[in-house]
This record gives sequence, structure tokens and C-alpha cells, in this order.
Amino acid sequence: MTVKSDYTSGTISLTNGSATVTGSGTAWAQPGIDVQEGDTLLNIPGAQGFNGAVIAAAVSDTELTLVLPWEGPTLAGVTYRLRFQPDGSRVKAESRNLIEMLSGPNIPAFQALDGTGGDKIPMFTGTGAMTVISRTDLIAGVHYDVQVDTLADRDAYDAEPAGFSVLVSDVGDGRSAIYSKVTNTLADWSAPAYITGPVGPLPDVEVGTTTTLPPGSPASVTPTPIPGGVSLAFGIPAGEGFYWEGAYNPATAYQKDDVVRFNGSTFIALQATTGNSPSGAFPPVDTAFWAVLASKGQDGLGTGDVVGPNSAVDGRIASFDGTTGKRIEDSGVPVGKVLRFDQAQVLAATEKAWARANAEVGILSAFRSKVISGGFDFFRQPSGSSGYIAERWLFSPGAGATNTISQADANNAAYPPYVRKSLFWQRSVAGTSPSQLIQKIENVNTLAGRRVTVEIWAGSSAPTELEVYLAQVFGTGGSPSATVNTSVQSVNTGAPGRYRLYFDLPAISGKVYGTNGDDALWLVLRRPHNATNPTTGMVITAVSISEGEVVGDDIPFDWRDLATVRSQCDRFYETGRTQMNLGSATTGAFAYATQFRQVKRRVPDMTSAFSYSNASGGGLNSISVTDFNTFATPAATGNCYFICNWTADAEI
Amino acid sequence: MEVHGYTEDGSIEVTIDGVRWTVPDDMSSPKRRQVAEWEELGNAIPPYEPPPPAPYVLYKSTFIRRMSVQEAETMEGVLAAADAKLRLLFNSVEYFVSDDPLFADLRAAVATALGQQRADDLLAPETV
Repeated sequence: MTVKSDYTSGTISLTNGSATVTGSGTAWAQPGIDVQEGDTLLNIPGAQGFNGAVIAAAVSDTELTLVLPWEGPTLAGVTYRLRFQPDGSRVKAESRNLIEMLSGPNIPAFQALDGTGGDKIPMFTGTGAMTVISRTDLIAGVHYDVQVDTLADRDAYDAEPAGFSVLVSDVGDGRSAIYSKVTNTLADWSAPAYITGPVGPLPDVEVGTTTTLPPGSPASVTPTPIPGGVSLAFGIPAGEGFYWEGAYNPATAYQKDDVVRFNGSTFIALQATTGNSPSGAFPPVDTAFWAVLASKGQDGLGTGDVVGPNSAVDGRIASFDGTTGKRIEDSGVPVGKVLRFDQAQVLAATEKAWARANAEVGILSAFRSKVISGGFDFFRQPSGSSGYIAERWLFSPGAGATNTISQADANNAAYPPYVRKSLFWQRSVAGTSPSQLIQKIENVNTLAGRRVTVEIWAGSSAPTELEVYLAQVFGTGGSPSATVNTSVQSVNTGAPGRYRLYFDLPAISGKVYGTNGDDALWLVLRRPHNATNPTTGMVITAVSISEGEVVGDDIPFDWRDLATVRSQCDRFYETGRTQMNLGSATTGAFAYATQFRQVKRRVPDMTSAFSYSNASGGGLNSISVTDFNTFATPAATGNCYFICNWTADAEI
Repeated sequence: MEVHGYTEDGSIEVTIDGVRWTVPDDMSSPKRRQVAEWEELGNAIPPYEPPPPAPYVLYKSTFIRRMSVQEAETMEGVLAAADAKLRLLFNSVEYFVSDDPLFADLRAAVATALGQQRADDLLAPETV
């Protein structure tokens, strides 16, 4: 055994409080030097009183670790002396350590183990306590003879000898256990030796964050343990499709399929882009970055949005709902029911009548009323009791009745201001049947199929009834259809006032007219013989019959100037005077043609009353709807003339 | 109602309720239809009767000029044989009027003297 000399090569640096020694020019780990634990540093200048630092290990040629941190001053690049510990001291120390280790309680316990049978492995069971376990048990885990599913299945082995073991997979509470026969006695089983614990509670599973991933990327689930369970964070890829980004922002980095709104249109990104705006033109166009998804429409001229109902009926006209101007509703009026000017009107006849009435076109509707001389301006005679007394009005007195019909001024303030005359109807004896005032309106087709309004202004000295109805008379000759009467409506007259009555005239399609050309619509005003106050005087004027249910018009009776009324009456009845002055230079009969003022509705019946001077034999011939001849025979001598007062009656 | 008959142009003269009407022979006339009802009772409308000819004036000079000399001598003899009153009247008038009763006497005398045909010819109305 040798002892190496001290090693002093190089210098060292030490730091107060540090166990690391740094060398410079040292070779502490080199073979032959081989600084070992227990070697000591000595003679360190500037560290008197701190020499003898024990080395724990040589980390490298230039680094040592001390057993204790350096307690001396910090020094740098100082000399030193490293003294190696002798080998004898080292062996002695190691032997002492071995003896201390073998003298513990564990070695005797090991020595006491029984290794009979082999395949045994020693195992500490405590300090100074050991045993052996079978290697088979160690590698096979639990040992048993048979395995059954349930405790009941174990019964099949109740007769097995002591030591026989059975593994029951589920003893009833979910656990597994081994039972061993304690003795050979039937069913003498040991207590269960559980090999699994009871069924624990279900772990808590918490749904953590959910993140939308880019389209096409794989989905992800990231578990994070939490007390009693786990939290799952999901990453779900977005579906392929549009991604609404709202209004276009030039600072936003858009991706393919992003959709933006710009100038009222929407665009879809064709590729990733930033700062490239979509088309601002109208209509918009595609660009390299954006394609038009939906183009805005032409701007309207209004100022508000209009909201309609959830549904509508095809062809109906929309109207405003309320006063905001922003809501519309179904007006209920089909397009086909409005007044048309560019094509045929499709209104039904009754609807046309309504339309005219609703239009309140009275002031424009000359001859709207089908009654002629409804104001009783012309009488054939001052008064009478039957027949045509007032022009166009046929009076039928009724059986046993006595009436006087005369013209009177319509001077009551209650009557319309333009009405000048009226018919005064005085019945002194009521008789046994109604007294009737009838106007036969030419042509039974008049207002057929229409709703009509009959208006009468009337008054009576005492309350009484006036009945009104219409009759469609198809004339005489041939085989005409039977007369069709409307219902009879009654008004109670008293103080002068207006009475409006509405009738629905039937259509006449399929009806047969008479051959004598005297079909007509009769307007009948009648006073029942058994009316209240049947003999009271009654005034009637401004009688009209107009198409439609007159509501808006104040007065459907359309006033006509007297010349017009006279001319209308002349179509039915005309009187005149023809005078012929012949002088003396003639021989034989002569004739003189007279033109009617108005063309007659038919060849009239005529009367003639002649007065002569030096003439005789007057008469009428060549009567037509336009004119006639008067003739007379002059005397042989003397100046002659004649005067003929005539009437021409073409009434219905 | 009294139906007087047809007129020359085919109308019908009828009096209804005291008023005489000239009614067209047309059933569009209510009065004609009244006449028709009257006819259905078995009555018939009387036919047209022409009125008597109108009177005329014949100048005596025309009458004389129409005669031949021989006829004038004959009529002179007839006139001479007439009574004094008739002879004076003939000589005093300038013309004859056809509806005068004496004109009928003159026509008869001429027919007796010269024959009916010559009487008609000589006393015919003057042509203008």
C-alpha cells in the first residue's frame, strides 16, 4: 500500500457559502490523480483557520464539491494543497460500515426464512420481519379452483373438501370474492375474500368549453380531470357554407365563403382578402375577391317600408291599413270590380248600378230618371177625373171613386227648389178599388235586371197611404209573356217630404214581347180605397225612377228645362193648329201638310176640329209619325180659308 | 163608340166618348184595338165613300164658246122658249156656279136639247 503525495497543480477559487471549488490548471479527475471522496484541501492562503476542507467528489478536472459549504472568505486564484486520504483509512471505514449494516435485525429475519419446495420469494413484512410467497401466487394473482358467476352457483361445490376455493364473480353487490371450504362439512364456506372493491359512484363528467373549428378540420375532445370526474372540452369544425360577417369592413381579414353586406347587396368572398371592397356599382358585378350573392333592388320612390298581411287573395286590391303609410291590407275589392276605361267592364249589371249610384253622378246624368214629366209641368187640361190629365200620366179613378186631378204650384218650401208644379189629387169618394196614377215608360226592357230607386216627393193634408209598385208589361198582340209585378211598397204621407223606395226589377231574358209595340215598364202610384183618411188631398211631384240604390245623391230627380220636357211629351201626345188661307183662285179640294214638332213613337190617333171660310169638308189624311195632311174643299167663289185644331195621340 | 168608316187613305174615322178620331189602321193604336174588339162583335167598318164633287164656277162666255154655231142656234131657241124669269137670269149672270140649283136646271135643259154628253162637255169645269 502506498500513499500519493499532495497535489498542488493550478490554483483554486472558493466562494463563501458555496460547496463548489473551481480549479484552474488542475486535473483532479485524471487517472493517477483521481481525487476521491474524503480527500482534503489544505494550506489555502488567506484562509487560515479554515483549512482542511473535506472533498465530497471530483466533478471534473476543474471542479470539486466539498462535503460542507466553504465557511472561509471568498478567494480567487489562490494556491492550495490537496492531500489524498490513505487507502488503509478507506478500507477500515468501509469495513466498519459493512459490520454496522450486517448487525441489523433484517439479516437474522432473512436467515430464518424456509425455502422448502422452492419457487419461494422472500418478502419483508416489517422491520426485521420477513416471509416467503409462492412465485405462482405472485405471477397468477388470485388463486382459486373454480369460478362461478353468482353466489347461488357456488352451491354446486358445497361438498368439496376443505381448502377448495371458489371465485364468485358477483356476490350480489357487484364485488367479486373467493370462498374456501373451511372443513369438509357440507357448505362450510369461509367468509368472502373480496378481490374487487364495491362499485364506486359514477364519475362526474362536465362539458367544458366548445370551440368552433375551421371548416374541414378534425373534431377534438380534450379531457381535464376535475374533482370526482372529468371536464371535456370539445372542438367542433364549422360546416362548409356561408359565414355571415355583417357589414363590410375594409380592416377585416375575410376568409373564403365569408358573406358581407355592401351598398345594399350581399357578397361572398371567393378567397381570403383584406381591404378589397366588393363592387359598388349598380347593379353590382363580381370581382376577383367577391361574388354577388344577392343584388339590391332598384330604390323605390317612397320614404317608408310597407308591410303587408301574411296572406292575400289573388287579384285583390291592396289599401292602406291605418294612417302610418307603412302598412297595407286587403281591400276586399277584386281588380275586376274597379271601373275600367281600357277594356270591357266586367261588373255585373247590379254592380254597375251600384257603381253609378256610388259615383254620385246625378248632376251629370241628364235623363237619368226614366220618368217623363215627373214634375207635372204639362197638363192636357186644367183638371179631370180620368185618363191623361197630366202629360204622360194616366189616371184611373177606381171603381166607384170620385177624383179630381189638377195641376198645382209646388210652392211648399219642403219641395226641391227647382220643382215648379205638382199634381194635386183630391179624392172625394174612395170607391171600392184603388185609384191609380200610372206612367208607362216606353220599352219593358227599361232597367230590367237592375236595382232601381223610385223617389217621390209628396204630402197630404192628413196622414194616408200611397202605394208604389212597378210592372213589366210585355204588351199586346201575339202571345206576350205575362206581366211581372214587383212587390208593392207603401209610404205614409203627411207633411211634405221625400220618399225613396228600392225595387229589384227582374231580368227579362226569355220573355216574349207583344207584336203591337206597346211593351212598357209601368210605374204605378195608387191610393188604396180603404186607406187611412182616403179622401184627403194629396200633392205629388218630382217623381223619378233611377238605376241603382240611390244613397249619395240628394236628389235623383234630374231637372229638365221645359222645352225638353215638352219635347219628350210630344213624342207621345201633341196638339196643334193648322190654318190654310187659300184666297179665291182655286177649284176643288186641296190639302196642306203639317209637320209634327216631335216624331211620334207610332202613327198617332188624331182628332181634328175645322172652322172655315168659303170652304167645307175638312179632314185629315196621310198621317205618319212625322206629319199629316189637312184638307178641305173650298167654296166655288170667295176667299176661303180653314183652321184645324188637331191632336195627335201616340201614347202607349 | 161609333165607327164611321174608312177614309180615302185607309184610316178609320171613329167617335169615342164624344170625340171623333182619325185612327190609323194599325194595332199599335189602342183605339184601333178598340175598333177591333168592336169588329169581333160582328160589326164591319163601312167602306170609304168619296165626298161630292167640289162646286166650281163656269163663265157663261166659256159655255157659249164651247158650242158650235148650230148648237148655239138650238140653245138660243131653247132659251127663247123659256119663261121670262129664267131668260132674264141667264142674260144677266157672268158665270154659273155648279152648286147653284139653277145650274142643275141648265144642265137638264142642255141635255134635252143637245144630249147628255154634250151637256157634260159644255158645262164641265174650266181648265186652267
